[in-house]
Amino acid sequence: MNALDPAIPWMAGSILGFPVLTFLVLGLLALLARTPPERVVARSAGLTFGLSLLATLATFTTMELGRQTKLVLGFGPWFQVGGYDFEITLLLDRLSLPFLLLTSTAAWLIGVFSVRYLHRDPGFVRFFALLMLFACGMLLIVLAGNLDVLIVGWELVGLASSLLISFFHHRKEPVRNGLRAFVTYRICDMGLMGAAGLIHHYAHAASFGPAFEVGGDAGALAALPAHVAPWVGLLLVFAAMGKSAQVPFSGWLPRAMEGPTPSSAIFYGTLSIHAGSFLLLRAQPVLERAPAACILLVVIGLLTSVHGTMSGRVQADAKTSLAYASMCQVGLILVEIGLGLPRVAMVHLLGHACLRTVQFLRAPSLMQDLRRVEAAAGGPMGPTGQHIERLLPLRVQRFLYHLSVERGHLDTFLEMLLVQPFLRVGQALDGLEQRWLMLLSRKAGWLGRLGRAVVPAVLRERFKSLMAPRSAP
Amino acid sequence: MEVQRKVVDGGAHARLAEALGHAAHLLPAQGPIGVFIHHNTLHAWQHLPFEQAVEEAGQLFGAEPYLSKARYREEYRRGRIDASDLEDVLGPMAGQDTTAAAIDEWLVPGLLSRRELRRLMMLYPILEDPQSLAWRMHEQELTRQLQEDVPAEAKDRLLAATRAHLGALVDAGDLAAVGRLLTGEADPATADAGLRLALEIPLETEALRRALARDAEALATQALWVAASYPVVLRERARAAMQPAGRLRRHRDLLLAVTEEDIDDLVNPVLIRLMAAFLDQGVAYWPMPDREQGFYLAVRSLCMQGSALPVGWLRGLREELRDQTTRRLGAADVVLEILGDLGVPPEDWDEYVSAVMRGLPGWAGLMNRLEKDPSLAPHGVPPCSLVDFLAVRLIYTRCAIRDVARRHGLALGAPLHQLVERLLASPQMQDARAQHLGESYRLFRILQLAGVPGHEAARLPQSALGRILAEMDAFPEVERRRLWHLAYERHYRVQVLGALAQHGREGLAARAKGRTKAAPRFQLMFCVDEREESLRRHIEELGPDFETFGALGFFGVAVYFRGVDDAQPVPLCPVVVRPEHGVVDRPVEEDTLLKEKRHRMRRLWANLAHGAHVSSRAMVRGWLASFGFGVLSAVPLIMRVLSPRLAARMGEGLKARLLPAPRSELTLQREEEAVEASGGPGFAVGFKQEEKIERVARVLEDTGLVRDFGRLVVIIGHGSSSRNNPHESAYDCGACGGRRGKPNGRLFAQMANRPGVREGLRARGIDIPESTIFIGGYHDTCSDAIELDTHEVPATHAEDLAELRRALEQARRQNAHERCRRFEAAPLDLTPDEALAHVEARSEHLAEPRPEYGHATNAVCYIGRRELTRGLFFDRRAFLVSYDPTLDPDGHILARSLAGVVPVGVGISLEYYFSHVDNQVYGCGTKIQHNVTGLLGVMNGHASDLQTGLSWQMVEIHEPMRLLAVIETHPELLGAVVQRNAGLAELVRNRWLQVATVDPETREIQVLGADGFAPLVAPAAPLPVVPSSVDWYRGRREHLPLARIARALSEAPSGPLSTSSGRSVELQNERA
Repeated sequence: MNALDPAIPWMAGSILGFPVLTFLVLGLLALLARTPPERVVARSAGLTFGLSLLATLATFTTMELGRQTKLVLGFGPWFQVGGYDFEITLLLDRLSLPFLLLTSTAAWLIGVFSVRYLHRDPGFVRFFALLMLFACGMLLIVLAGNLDVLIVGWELVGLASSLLISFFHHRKEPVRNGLRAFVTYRICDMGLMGAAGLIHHYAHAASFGPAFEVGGDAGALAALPAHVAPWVGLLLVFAAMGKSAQVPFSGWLPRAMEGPTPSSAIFYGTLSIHAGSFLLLRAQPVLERAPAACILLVVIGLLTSVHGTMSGRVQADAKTSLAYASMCQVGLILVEIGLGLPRVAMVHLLGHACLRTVQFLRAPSLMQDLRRVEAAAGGPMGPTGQHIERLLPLRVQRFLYHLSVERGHLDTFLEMLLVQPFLRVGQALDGLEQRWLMLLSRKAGWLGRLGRAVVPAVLRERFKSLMAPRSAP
Repeated sequence: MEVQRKVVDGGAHARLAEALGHAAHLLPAQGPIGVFIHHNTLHAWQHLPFEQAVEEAGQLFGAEPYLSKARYREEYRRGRIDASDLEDVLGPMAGQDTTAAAIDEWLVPGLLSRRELRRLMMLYPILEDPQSLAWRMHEQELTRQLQEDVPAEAKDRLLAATRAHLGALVDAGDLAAVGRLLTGEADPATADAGLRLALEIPLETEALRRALARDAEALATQALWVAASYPVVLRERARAAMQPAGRLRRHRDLLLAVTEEDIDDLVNPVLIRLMAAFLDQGVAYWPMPDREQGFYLAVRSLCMQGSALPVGWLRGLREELRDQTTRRLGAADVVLEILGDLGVPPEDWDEYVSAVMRGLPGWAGLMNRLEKDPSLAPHGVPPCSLVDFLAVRLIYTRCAIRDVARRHGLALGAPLHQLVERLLASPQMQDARAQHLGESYRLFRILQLAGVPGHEAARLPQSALGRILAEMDAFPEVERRRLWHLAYERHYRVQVLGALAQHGREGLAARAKGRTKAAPRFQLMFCVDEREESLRRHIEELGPDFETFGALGFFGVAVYFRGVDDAQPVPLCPVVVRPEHGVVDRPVEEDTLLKEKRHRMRRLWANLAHGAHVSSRAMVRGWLASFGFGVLSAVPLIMRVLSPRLAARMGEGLKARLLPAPRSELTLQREEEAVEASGGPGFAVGFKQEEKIERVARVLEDTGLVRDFGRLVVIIGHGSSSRNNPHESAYDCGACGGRRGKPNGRLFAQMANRPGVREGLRARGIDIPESTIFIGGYHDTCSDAIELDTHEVPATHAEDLAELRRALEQARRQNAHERCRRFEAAPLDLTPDEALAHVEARSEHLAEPRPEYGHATNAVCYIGRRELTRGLFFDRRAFLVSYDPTLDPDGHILARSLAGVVPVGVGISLEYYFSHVDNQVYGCGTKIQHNVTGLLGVMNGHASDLQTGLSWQMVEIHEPMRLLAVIETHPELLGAVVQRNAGLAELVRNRWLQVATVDPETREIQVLGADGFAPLVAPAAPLPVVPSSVDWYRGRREHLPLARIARALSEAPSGPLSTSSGRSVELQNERA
């Protein structure tokens, strides 16, 4: 114990507090008054992320110095329904601290980077508002002391992610792809909701215990009955599959490369892509008692990894190839979690996040880098893809290459088995509704009302005669 | 693979080749962006006059021909365009053979002339957004009050006239007339009802009086609206507008209009992926199989033996391809077959093929470029062919058309070729909106702006109203924008030429007073690049000891050059020139060991770096990489973001320590006919004596530097360094083919210093004294670093050299300072030292999308003696080419200069023009979403067309205008010179640039207009005079007008140079 202990809650609280406050202030300003000028936004973003990082460092140092491995901060009950408690608690432990450091550093780094990168962009304020929202969400996930708080962060991250993919909303592709990511998230979020429901139902609370600690309070997740744990495990794995772009839900990740470069870096290189892994690391007590979920996780992770590396190998553009490289390693991280090696997974994750951030941010340098390497090597680098690829018979090569170019046809399968049937149902319902509405509103035509507003009533008859040629053949 | 061509009509193949040639001509001509060449985006339209070209191309590509009207109006408000410019362009009726009387003809007697109508239509938005008109009229109560932007005097006139007229009618008790005026109804009862509905007042004397006193504006507006909305003439006009739209160009457009489904959304992603894989230069780990057989065959075998699923829109594709294989069709056969199948008649092929290509112009254009010149690809490409691209695109397009048509029940039981007729006949296509409301509104609005009261308008005959509308139609939007553009150009032209005229006159006056020029001590020759204008000015501000010249930045030395650390020799000269000589920068013999160690180390580093790059993306190796150097890799990144300058300096320091550079020498001399074949075309190594003499003499003659040599003559090439920037090459020296002209200055100086060469020059009448030493140099236009190659400077010149260094040190700080005023991120109160630090950080920053502004703001090209422009503040907007007309009575030097400079300058100016006026179509959009693809170009996001042109960050501050070339010569001589060069003549004739001449003796200015040269008519606004550049630009970010800089014209040196101990000018490690 040391003298700084009473300050820890304040420090830890302000890690999250600064971004939340800035987001609210900026958002309200933009919404109610007028869009704040770029310089104000840039300064406040730099300050916010800087202070948040400082608070993280201070918390980290204090806890390390005090050899404290665990800290629970309660902010009282959120609400209660019947016998179910929804608490707002933050948890700092051996799992969240490294992630906290990663999150704060990445947010600060990307913030500083983007101030310059997006300078004079018309969407500057929007970008920083979303980045701030994302930082809040990610910090909530990392600091969450129970599943309920985590869900809030999870949803914020998903929302910010989709909105940043469609950042350039004057083009249709970004909007379409943002929507795709959003829909994928929502579908997989049902897993999280389901898991939360089950946990609350059986444990009446959804608190996490500190990770990597034997004995002590293991949290509500450890208190689940044996027959429920496997189901919760499966649901959580399902939830993680969306954010981590696991097979078969991986199609959105390459499409997410529509946003500005720095947002691609922090989302799909550093943080958001690893949120699923973090969730499963948190849910370690459940996974330990859910062998089926672990097996599923290993299988899906391996499949994703193979899918990622194959599809990544044939991508000829910088960002998509990085997206698949990310997907591949995240698959391996999930395999490690499924195999019950959380510490390995954690180290892997941290290393991978740093590596990928660097690569995403430097993606525009690809040509310059390669030219420099070639100049140093004294000529072009040898061709790649000469090992396994060349040993296979040509027919198989073509088959695998095509499979990779088509990204394993995953999108086609999803489209066929999921999207189309769903749309058909929707269209049928829509048709019914249309007909019903027509029936109700036959007498009130809005066009008529509009006409009356502009043209004096007496002129309307003449107008009608003017319009007459339209209906004539 | 031998493809036996199916015996089809040979004529069809020839016809197809023709159509392909036509389509290829219209595609973007940009090659791989590793070497970015500025060129006229609409090169294919150069045979047409500029205005016609931009308008036609704009229609074809759906692109903007000029800036938007709103933007021009904004410039008008700012004073960038003034009333006199507008008057000038409105004067003659464009395209109509009429006298001045026609433009002043009355349309509404006494109230609205044709000129006034046109002026109003230009200054005010008339009907910008017809879709929302009904809503706006209701919401903003446009029929109850005059609009806010109606000029005050028009408003007053209108209100007063209406008040008087209505007042008189009411007083006279003529309610029927009032009713007719306010509702258009003759019957008082109907009129009463109408008036109650429209204005909530009854048709009664008292009520009308009250309304007139309280809200005359509502009555006046209502009267005008009735007058404008009533006429029968509008009915015919609306009906005429309802004719069905003309034939659309391809199935995609028709299907989109009818089904709202875009088949390009299906076809493009697949095709982009395949094209990227096919052309890839080494991004993908696994190269596409079979690609050495060409695109069509590679895709065919891939899809046939690949994993295609027999579902969705690609159903039947595999069978189709199999069928093509068994029939051994070639790409052209497939194209012919599909064109037939889709029902495209041969006479439409030109247009259809071109339209199909335009679905992905960037990719198709690249394919076309690489077909014509495969050597453009950095690592060699498989055989490219546009017909392959077309075949694959059509195969997929047919699948998509079939699928969409089937799903929308458009193709049931009928062959595909009837689809077009069916689509054209479908009801959606016929649905042209009735335009009555819009027509009324246009009339209403223009009468309002002109201040025509309702009763006057109502009195006009139908024909007069129809005439006003016809006049408005005869002055369509694109014409208005064209005039705006001419006014925009005129304003700047008058400003520049007026300043030149005045500056020239004063120079003559000074000369007449008998002041003579002493031979300067330092002469510096720069590239003609407009970015060097400010640096030259700052150097000249240091006093009469300094003189500068401008020549194309390869300085006449067209070579393949290979530096100590280069893998390949690269050509350093304009792209149109193919060098016949090569020069290698070879380590000297004593340093061979050092060189070998350096090469070993560098190779080791290359292998490590490349290994890390590849393995971090793989599966197992990526796992190892994450553990191995994952977290560590973030350290340099954080440093680079925190302090880019410090990080760069540490990196350089580390490199200097680990990799000491060997001393080197240029293989300049050639005695025997040694030809090195490596690296593409063969070239001779080094230059023979006479070749050197020829090259040096030519540049000296071109620039007029043939006498009065100083003690030091510095030849400074330029380039630009930036980080994380795929378009880096676009900032480099255009005259060096989009590369850095560092070696050229060095080569030139070494040649000019050879005693043998000097002797030869003397024989040609160029006497360079012994005391003159040439020095090569290099200027980084981004970081403002200047390097000098000083190893040939003897001890006798040590003091001069020191002085020169101090001068350059100061000038580059000033230059950085002047540049910083343009960067919003740089505060306006920076000191020169801080400014230098700022631009250095820009060139090293990973997150900097605008390391510099490149050629943005270029506007003028001056060809003539520096004497005439020295001391003029051109705001970095002028290409300055040194040329001495007194040495060139027959114009052969001028011909050379023009042939070299004008295409480069016009290419740059037009590329900036188009990338600015339509950044989406002609430019490459914003940099912050760019995605490097195949080492060939950039895409927007994850799968888009290859983006050609310049990014918004490069052109945002540009003023899109045609280059104004001012040439110091006689118009007749210029005419003769231009006539001899077909390319130049075409550019001048079609006005892709503006041309003016300055008489070498009298300095009279002549401007080339539609009827040949005419003397400049410009108001003689006095040219501002300031002591130094900084006094003129300090604290201002915007474009600045010209000014005289007194210090650059003074006879005495301007005080001692600051001896700031900055970073050493000499960065290069040279042989001591």
